[in-house]
Amino acid sequence: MAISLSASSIPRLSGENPAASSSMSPLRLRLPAGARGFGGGGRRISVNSKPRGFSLVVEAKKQTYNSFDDLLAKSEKPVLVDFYATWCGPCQFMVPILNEVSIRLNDTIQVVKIDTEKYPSIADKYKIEALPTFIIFKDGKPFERFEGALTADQLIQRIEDSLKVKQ
Amino acid sequence: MRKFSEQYARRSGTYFCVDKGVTSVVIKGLADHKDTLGAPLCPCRHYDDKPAEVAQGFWNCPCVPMRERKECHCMLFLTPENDFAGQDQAISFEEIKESTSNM
Repeated sequence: MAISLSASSIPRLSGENPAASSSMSPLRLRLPAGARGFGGGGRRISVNSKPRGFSLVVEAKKQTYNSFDDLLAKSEKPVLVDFYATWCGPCQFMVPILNEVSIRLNDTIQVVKIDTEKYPSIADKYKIEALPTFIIFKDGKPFERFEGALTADQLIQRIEDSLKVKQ
Repeated sequence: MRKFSEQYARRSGTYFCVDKGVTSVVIKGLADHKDTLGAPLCPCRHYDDKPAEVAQGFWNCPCVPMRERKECHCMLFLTPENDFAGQDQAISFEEIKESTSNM
């Protein structure tokens, strides 16, 4: 099963960085610093001060987010969040499907993936249990959630029914 | 965990996924948990406290839902009627290595 990590406009939270206090200039890297899994090494940042947060650079839009909440707040469209884990089979099965859905529903929804092993606090906050769990956020708040792998057509149908937007 | 998966599929009359990549990833995840936690905790769940879950046992593979109702949300053991069920109850070490080599 090919798992493609490149050429994706899906921002992925895959590296925990107690990061970027305001005294550091934001790193305009293509990868979140210190992140693994994108096929490139990241630089380690040593930070002395909290608060906890991370820099996430979205390749497609080159936006920087300070936190998941920040990402939700700044999104103009509803956000489909995929809570996954590396060794969860159905989650990896969904990788190409999410790429396809992200392209087909480009104007309708933003797709984001969260590695629950790297961001357990976010997973805890939304009471994630089974993986994959998908939550559609509207206006920054959870709007609908469902679990398990599905085909691209099924996922698109689910999203459209939920948002009552037909293409 | 590869041998276990093959034996348990046969014993339970279930089949691996048509996409053997899914099977490979789950088997790797089970093996990873067995190495780090001492038991093959289900890799398709998020846990607050993994050691506590291992001690409790509900989600140690084969988990209770699988044992009681043949429900495997990891898509490792699929009943024949499942849309994603393939024909195989076997998977080679090479297949697993190939499917998971880029992860």
